[in-house]
Amino acid sequence: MSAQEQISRQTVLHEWHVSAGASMHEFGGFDMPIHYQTIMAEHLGTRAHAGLFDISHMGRFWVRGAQAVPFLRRALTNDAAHLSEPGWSHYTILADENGCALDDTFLYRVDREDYLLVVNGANHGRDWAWLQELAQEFPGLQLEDRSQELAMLALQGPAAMRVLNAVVAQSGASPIVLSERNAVGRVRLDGADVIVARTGYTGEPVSLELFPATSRTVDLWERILEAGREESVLPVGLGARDTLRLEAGLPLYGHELGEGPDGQPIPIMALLSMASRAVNFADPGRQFVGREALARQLVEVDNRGRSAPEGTDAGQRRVPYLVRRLAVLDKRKDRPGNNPVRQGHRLLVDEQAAGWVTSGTVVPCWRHAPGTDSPAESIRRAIALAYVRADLRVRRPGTPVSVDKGRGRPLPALLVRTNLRVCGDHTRAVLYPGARLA
Amino acid sequence: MSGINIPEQLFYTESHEWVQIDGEIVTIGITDYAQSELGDVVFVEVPDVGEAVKREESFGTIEAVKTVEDLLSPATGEVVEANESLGDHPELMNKDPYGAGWIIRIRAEDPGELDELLNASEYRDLLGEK
Repeated sequence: MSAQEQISRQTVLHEWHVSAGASMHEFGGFDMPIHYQTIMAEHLGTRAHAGLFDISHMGRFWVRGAQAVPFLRRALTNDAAHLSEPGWSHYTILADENGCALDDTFLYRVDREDYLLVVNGANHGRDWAWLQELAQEFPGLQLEDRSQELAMLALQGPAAMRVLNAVVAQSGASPIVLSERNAVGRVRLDGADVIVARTGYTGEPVSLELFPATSRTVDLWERILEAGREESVLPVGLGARDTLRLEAGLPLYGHELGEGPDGQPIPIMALLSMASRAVNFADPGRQFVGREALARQLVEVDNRGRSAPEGTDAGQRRVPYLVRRLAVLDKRKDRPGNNPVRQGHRLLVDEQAAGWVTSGTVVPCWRHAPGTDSPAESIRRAIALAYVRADLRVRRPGTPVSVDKGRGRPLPALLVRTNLRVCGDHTRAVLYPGARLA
Repeated sequence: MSGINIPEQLFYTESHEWVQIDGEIVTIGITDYAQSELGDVVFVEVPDVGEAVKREESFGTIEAVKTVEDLLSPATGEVVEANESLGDHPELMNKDPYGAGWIIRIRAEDPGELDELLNASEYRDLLGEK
C-alpha cells in the first residue's frame, strides 16, 4: 500500500464539516464528522425535527443493462425481480455460500434497467471485488463504481419531507411525493435531477436519502440547512447516526453481521425479522449465492425451542445465537439504567453464559407530556443489541438477563421486542420495565 | 486551544485530571479539555469512601457515548468523599467540570507527590502541543 492510500479519503463536504467545527475521525477509510455539537443533541434534534447527514463514505455501484436483473438475482439475497417497476428499493444482503454476510446493502431501482446498489464504506473494496468476480458469469453487464460522481445525504426526521420540498419549491419544481417507505423518485433542482428515496438508518418514518451529483452537493447541503432553519434542522455526524440506528434496533456490519463474538461468522438468519426482509425464497428456481445454507438456517430458526433435528446437538447448530434487542435497567430494576454496556460484554442468565453485547451505549430520548405528542424533556437510557443463545425466548414485556461488564456486579437487563416505536410521523421511545411509551 | 478553560489556581495531570489542593485533602475532576474531547459523559464509576487509591493508577472509569477512559489518581491516599450527584447527573462533568462536576476527594498520604503536577501554564503548553 502506498503512503497516499493510507491517508483518509474525504467526501466533497469535508471542508464544510471542518469549517463548521465538527469533531472529525476516520471511519470506513474516510475522515468523517462524528459530531458538530454533541451526539446527544444531534440524536434528540433528529427525533424532534430532522437531521442532515453526509453519508458519502458509503459505496455506490450502478448495475445497468439487460443483464442487471439476472445478475442481481444471483448476487443478492433479496429478489430484484420483486422491484417490479422503477421507483422502489429494498434491503438486501451480499451473502457467501455459507449464508453469512459479506455486507448488508440497499438496492434502488432507479430506471427500467438502472439499479443503484449502496454498500457499507468499510466493505467497499471487498464488495466491489466480489461483485466483479460474479459479474464474469454475465457478459455484457454494466457494473460501475460511481461513488466519486455521486454523493449521498440523509435527511431524517418528522420535518424532512417539508424541508426538502421547501428547497424544491425554491427551484420552481413540483413537490416530491414519496408516500411509502422504500419509494424512489427524482426531484429537479436547478435543471438537474437528484435521486431521492424514502429510506434511512434512523428508524424515523419520515426518512429521505438523496444522491446528488458531487459537484452540486455542497450547495444542496447548505440549501437544506437554510430551508430547515425555522424547523431546527441540524447537521448530524456519524456518532448520532450510530445511536439512532441502535435505538431503532438496526444491524451494523462488524457488530451484528460479519464476524460474531464467538469468533464465527454470524449466520444471516440470526437477524430474524431483518433477515426475513432481506432474504427472499419465493422463486424456487432462483439460485442466489448462499440459498441452500440460508434455507437450512431458516428451518433451524423456525424450529427453535422444539427439540433439535435428529443427529444435531447444540454444538452443531447452524444458528446457535440470535440478534436481540436489550434494555439495561437501573440496579433497583424499577427504571431504565444509565450504565452503558458495550460490544463484547457478556450476557448471563441464572449466572450461566447466554451471549454477548454486540452494540451498546447510553442514548437520549424525549419524554412527552401526558396525552400529547410534544417532547417535554429529555432523559437517557442504556440500550444494546446482543447476540443471544437461540433457545432463550423473548417474553413480553422482557426476558430478564444480566450483563457482566467485567467489573462490579452484573447489571440487570431485559431482552425486549423493541426500544422504539413509530407513532404517526415520528417515533417514541419504549421504556422498561413495563414497556411504557416515553 | 482557544475556548478551553484552564483555571489558574488548579493543578493538572498529563491525563487531563484537575487537582485542587487544600492541605492533605485533594479534590479531583476532569478538565474542560477532557470533557470536550469525550463529549457527553454518560456514566462515571468511582471508589467508595474509605477505599485506597494509588498515584498514577486507575481509581475509576468515565464513560462517554462512544468511549471509556480510566481516571488516574494524582496521589496515593484514601477516598474521603465522592460526588454522589454524578450518579444521576453525569452531565455535570460536561456542564461544570471544575465545579459541580468534581469527582472525588482523597486524603493524600504524601502531599510531596503533588509537587510534580502541572500548573495552569504548563498544562496550557501541554494542550498547545496537540
